[in-house]
Amino acid sequence: MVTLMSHFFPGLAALWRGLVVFPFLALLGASSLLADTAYLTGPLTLSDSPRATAVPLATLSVASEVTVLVAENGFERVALEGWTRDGAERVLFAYPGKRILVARVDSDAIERMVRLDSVDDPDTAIRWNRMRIEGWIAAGNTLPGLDPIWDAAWELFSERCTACHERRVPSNYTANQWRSHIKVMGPRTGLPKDDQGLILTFLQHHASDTIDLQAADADRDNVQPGGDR
Amino acid sequence: MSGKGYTEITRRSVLRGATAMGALGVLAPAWLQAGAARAAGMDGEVLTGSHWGVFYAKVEGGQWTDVRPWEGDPHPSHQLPGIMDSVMSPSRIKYPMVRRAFLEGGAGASPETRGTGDFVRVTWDEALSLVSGELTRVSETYGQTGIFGGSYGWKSSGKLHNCQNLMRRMLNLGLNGSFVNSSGDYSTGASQVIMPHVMGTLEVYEQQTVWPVVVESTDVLVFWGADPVRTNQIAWTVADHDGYIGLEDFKKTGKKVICIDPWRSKTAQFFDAEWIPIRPHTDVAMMLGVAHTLYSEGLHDEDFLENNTSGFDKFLPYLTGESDGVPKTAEWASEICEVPADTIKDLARLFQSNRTMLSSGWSIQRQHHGEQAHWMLVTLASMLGQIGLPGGGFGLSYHYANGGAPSANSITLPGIGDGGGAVDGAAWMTDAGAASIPVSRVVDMIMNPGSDFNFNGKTQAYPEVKMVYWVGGNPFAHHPGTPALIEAWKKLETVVVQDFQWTPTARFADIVLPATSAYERNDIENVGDYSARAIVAMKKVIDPVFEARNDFDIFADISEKLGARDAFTEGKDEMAWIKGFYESAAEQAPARGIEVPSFDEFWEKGIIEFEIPESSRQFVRYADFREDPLLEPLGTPTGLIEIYSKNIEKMGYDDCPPHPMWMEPIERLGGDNAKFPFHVNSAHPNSRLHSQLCGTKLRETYAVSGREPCMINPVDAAAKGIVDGDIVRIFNDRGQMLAGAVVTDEIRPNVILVSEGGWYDPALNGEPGALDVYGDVNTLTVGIGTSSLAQGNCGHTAIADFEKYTGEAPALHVFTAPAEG
Repeated sequence: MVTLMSHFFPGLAALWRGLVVFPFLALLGASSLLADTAYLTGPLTLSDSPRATAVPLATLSVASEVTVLVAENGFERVALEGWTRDGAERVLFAYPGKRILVARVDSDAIERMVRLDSVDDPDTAIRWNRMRIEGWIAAGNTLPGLDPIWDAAWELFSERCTACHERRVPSNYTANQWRSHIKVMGPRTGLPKDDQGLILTFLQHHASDTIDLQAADADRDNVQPGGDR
Repeated sequence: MSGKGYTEITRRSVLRGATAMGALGVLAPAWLQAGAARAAGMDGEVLTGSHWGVFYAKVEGGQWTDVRPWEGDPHPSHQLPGIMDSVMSPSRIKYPMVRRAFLEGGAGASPETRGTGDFVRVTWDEALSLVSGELTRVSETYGQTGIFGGSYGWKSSGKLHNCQNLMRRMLNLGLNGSFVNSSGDYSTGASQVIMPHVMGTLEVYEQQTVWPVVVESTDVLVFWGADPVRTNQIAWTVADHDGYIGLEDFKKTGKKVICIDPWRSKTAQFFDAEWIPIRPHTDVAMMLGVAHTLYSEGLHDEDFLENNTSGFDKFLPYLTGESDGVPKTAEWASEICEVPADTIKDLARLFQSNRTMLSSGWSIQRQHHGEQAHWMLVTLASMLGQIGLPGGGFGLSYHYANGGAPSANSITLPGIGDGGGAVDGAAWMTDAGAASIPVSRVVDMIMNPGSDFNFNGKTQAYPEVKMVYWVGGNPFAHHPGTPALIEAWKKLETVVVQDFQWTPTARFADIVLPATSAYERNDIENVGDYSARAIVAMKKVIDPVFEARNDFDIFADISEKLGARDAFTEGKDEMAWIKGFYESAAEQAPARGIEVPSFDEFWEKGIIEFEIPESSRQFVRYADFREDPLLEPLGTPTGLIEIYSKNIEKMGYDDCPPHPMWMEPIERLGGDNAKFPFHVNSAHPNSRLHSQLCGTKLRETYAVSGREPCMINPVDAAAKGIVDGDIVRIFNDRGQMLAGAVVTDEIRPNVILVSEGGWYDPALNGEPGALDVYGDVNTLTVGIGTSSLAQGNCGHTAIADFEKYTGEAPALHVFTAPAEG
């Protein structure tokens, strides 16, 4: 069963097989320093302290970008930024107006967030606030680059989202449309929720209105293990 | 529709048909028995599944002799006997065949002989060497986009023998993904692109407010160009037919049903519904008339428009005429749609004062400017303000695959993947041209390589395609504008078609590979696209006939020639794959709180069924969004229903404005420049799945004088001196076809109806403009895209004229195999 499982659900499991470990180690070999910027390999809890008994502050999403500040006792203190819709502060998205989930913040933790700036979207007349929150995550749940995460997502998407229809082109839809599509289509894959979430995040970051932002981020970060894209 | 609806073809006619074609053991012709060798001990009844439902196949002496529906089917399709006949009909492909000129002169030789039936039988090895050689040659000569692998069509059910995926798997793994794919489909081409801008999601393939809620809460049920009684016979997976329970239960309530349709559809007949015989192609105008009445009488729901929609204020000046000087009044609409203004006004009041479900089919979006129809329907539903209330709002899938049937708590099967995971994720972005085209632009692509086309905000160039490999589909039936398709095919160097019947498409191929039907191999499939209430073992009924081979094996062999057999098969055979799918699905069971049998137990039993939880029987679409649009936003930029779309505004398309509008199509009945006096309605057939089963005995239950039937109103028939059973010639500037007259007042005047999917049977060996002697309605329809936005097909846009055909009735060729075939 396990063999079958890993074959049919290559997604998150694949992150911990050869797909991921190799570039990660290769990068470590190239440099003794971890990059400041890191990406989550799966959903994760953000807590108020580096202890197993810590109080949860937020649930972070796969592929969310964090800045690692301190490492301590198997935990890492990270900072995370995201955009919230004015009046709906608990949900952080990757870009203003593009509902790519970065984190859901617990209601008790809202006051821990700092507002950095705001933008008004002229098309929708909605105000978006850029927020920052810090907290602790369990170490070993991040990678310095997105490519291995996207590779795992692409493999899942190609395998599981072609069983009933031809493979859709990610950039034929907007990030927000993908969110609605996967809400309906995700359960039809029979995949665990985390794998559906990985496919969704991948598609949202390669959508018609984000594909260029993704490329810009890659240029900026310049940390692309296996960076052949 | 009471009890088992297995009545349209009686058991007697099944037997008569079977005997007539000689398929019953003792009478079977030699050709059928040859190659049909069968393992002993397999006689008896075999349970299997199909697009038409789950059924038992009776096998005697290695021959398939009878068919009866599964007892778990609440409304079996009358088409089941056609399935049995399709396996054994004279149109079966027996051997690998190559067009003679191609074989002798090489790729591209004398393309005008395609369609003439001049084939030469070859061995499987010769055929597969030719195919793999051509794949390599074209790929090396014309680059990454020389091959079109975007095969589209309804293939057969089954998670493994999904021939289209298997082909793309071979192209991905064997040719490193060097092929042009397609996106979208011919069913919902316009709606599935516009709806994400309006509702944030596809709509067309999503669960509806379920039937039990509709039966309980809906007061007025409207079918706007939808005919679920006819079209719910089929499903993409295996049909459950649970939608019929909803239809029957609603009928029992005696509540009001209205059918807005140019003909008195099967659904209108079933409900004895109020029939509003609208002029075709004018639905948007009629909806605007209803909307204007709502607004001018203050009946629109301002709260819903304020809280749940965006842009009504920008649409309003158009509705009132403030922006263009034309108020869209009921009177204005009536002039266009031929529905009396008072009726339009009454409908507005009726809809508003009752809980109303506006259920729409897809015909009204399969037209020029088809994007506007469902956008306007949503706008109208928004003004009524019942979206998200039990039994209110709109629905775009009640007529498809039994949408609205409550969903079971079940496990979901994966299927064979297209192998694209092995190809770099960016491979579809190429400089050579679009690596994926909107599916119905295939003719434009072949004819105009290098030219730009618009699609949903992007401008891309058509790639130069020189080879087409078609599996599991029949473009010579489903593509509007058959004559243009024939012209385009002439530009191709190589056409490969893999099928089990000599479809018109197979006849226009260079290399024809005989595949098994779904009943000569093992597979597995979910039952019920929306209900997912069972998983059926699609067990092999009979051994492959003649030299037919499984799609999986054909593509595995081609992959081997391309050096990728192991990657293709992953070292697994048919049953290993099927078992893997089942066991993968079974992993989901604990999380759903259910127990499922082991694979071996399941396979022995043949089918497992799942419970439908009470919560599924109460599902109301958009209830959450209505309740809290901020926490449950739609996938639109505003998170609201977009009556005005800034994103579409930014695209700047003159054929798709930023709010719904009435736009004159390229041609329509009653249009200013209408060249012909009749609209040709090309509705879904009642006794086929598109073109599937046209080449079977089932045809004898509906053909008229051997031709596809054509419904004609008695007034029109009288004016042309036509009576029931006459052969008529229907024609316009694009093509001409014969059909058999059915004179009936169940179709309105000035509209004739020829169902899509009749097999194209050209006289003169397929010269463009040749007379189609059987009756493929797409010889007459318009081939352009719906608009720059969706580039969907316009299969319901066609006007024509017709006359009594007085010549000698030409013989049909399309239902028998070519010589040696």
